Amino acid sequence: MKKAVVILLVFALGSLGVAYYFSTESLKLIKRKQEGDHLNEVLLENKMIADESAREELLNGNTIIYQSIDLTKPEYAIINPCMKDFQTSGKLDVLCLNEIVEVVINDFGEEGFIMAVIGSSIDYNNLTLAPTFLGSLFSDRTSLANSLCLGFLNRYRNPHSLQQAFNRCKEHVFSSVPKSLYQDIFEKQVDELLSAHEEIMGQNNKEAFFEDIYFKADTQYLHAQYWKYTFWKRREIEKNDKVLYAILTQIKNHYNVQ
Amino acid sequence: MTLVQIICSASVIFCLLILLLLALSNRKSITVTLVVVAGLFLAAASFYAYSEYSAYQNRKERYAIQEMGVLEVPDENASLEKELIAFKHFQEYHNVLKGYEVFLVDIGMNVMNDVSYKNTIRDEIMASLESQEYGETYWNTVLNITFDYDRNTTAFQRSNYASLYVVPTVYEYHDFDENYGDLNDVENYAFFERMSQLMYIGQKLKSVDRSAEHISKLWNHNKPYIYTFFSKKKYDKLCQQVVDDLIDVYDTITATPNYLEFYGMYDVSDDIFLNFPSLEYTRSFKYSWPFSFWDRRFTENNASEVYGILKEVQNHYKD
Repeated sequence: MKKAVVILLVFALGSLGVAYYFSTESLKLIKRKQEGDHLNEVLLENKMIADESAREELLNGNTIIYQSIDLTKPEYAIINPCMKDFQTSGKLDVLCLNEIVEVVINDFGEEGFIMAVIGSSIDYNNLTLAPTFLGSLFSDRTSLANSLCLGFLNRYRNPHSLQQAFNRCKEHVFSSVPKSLYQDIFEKQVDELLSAHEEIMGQNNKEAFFEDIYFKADTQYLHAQYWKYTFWKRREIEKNDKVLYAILTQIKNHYNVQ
Repeated sequence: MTLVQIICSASVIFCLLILLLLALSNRKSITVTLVVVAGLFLAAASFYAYSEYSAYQNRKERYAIQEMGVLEVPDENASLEKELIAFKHFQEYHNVLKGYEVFLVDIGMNVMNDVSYKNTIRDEIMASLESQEYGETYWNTVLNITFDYDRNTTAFQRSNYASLYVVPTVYEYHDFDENYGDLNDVENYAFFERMSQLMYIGQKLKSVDRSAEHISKLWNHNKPYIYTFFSKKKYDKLCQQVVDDLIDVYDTITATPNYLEFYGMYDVSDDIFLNFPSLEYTRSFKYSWPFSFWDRRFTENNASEVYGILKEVQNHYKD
């Protein structure tokens, strides 16, 4: 009998030892967990601070990085009077614009200019496509920088040069525009244009379709709403609609696959 | 002391008490009671052990999932950061475009603060002078430029020593960012052109090979131009005094013993430097420049060749 008591006690103490062991292990786990939580908190805080400062940098980043081109004498002889005219009239004539765009491209590079056009189209407060960008390109009282953008874009209305420029620069543009940026800025426009194009293609009587659209747009002042349709009409007139459709499709696919 | 430690020590004491009771008592009933108590105690202890064990297992599983969460955070962070960096990238290009805008507007404003255009013109002026190197026009320009030529009176200003300081002054101290006014204006342009040409000569003097052989070669190849374009009248008015002084000083110095030793010294004060060959002699010149001129020629090891050339010039223009 007495032996039984001793054995039972030994076993009981053994289980207590086991319990003690696991409870210390648990304590260790809790400690590690707290450290992990703390680390998480710090990381989260750091991330918030980093995001905040990156945001702020964007908001305050609307500055000017002064540039200087070493103009040759003949270039200066053309650009100086052009810019004098611009001072007084606020307008650049087409020949002037072409000459100036040419000089800036030579200094800036085609890819640099493309980046700058994309950069001009972004609203940095909301990280969306600047709603006024397209309109301001054609506005009479637009900034010189926007005029330069338009002059630059005008160079690619020819379908052949558009295709060539796309082939030349797509690698660079694709690699510098991450998917998230594409989604924030361009995806909606691209998708709308593509679906509008398909809608137009599905029409039996395209002329009547466009007549209707233009009638509605003119009478109700809804040009903005029908922009995605009239856009293709203008491309058709410029004969670059097919090339552009192919390019937009390629862009869409590139970012969908990614 | 944690709860576990309290429980464990209490249990150990409890066991010792039971063992004590067991040892002291002989009655069977107590022993039986003790067996039951020990059994209950074992049951409680095992239950406690089991609960601690399962709690430990649960924690382990739960925390493992959360720990993976810790690893995921930096990834998310990176992608958002990447997006913002991409935005920043485009914003900077946009800012550069605005920089071009400001530059172009500056060009239209005709205030000649468009430094770059001025630099272009200056480079062109210097390049055109360089392309004419050692030809007729070249020597005409170079020989006249340090003497201020007045187109109205067709007279040269700044003769002799005064002209010697023009090139180093422009080269070292002139600020090319200063406003030259509208360069379409003839007078402004002439001044700017002259400054640019002086700049060219300054650069040329700094870079030219000053070895005795090269100086002799350069002189022998070009002296016909110089004799042709530099009239005796001009020489007498603009250079004669300097040439005569230089020759006189060289003759006097080299007639003094240890002159090479003296001019081999570095960092001597003006007092000592002008005490050679004698204070009276150095003071008889308006400028101390001829002495330092020869000092530099001795250092460059071309003094005798330069002396020979000067002597030749002097003889050429002698009546």
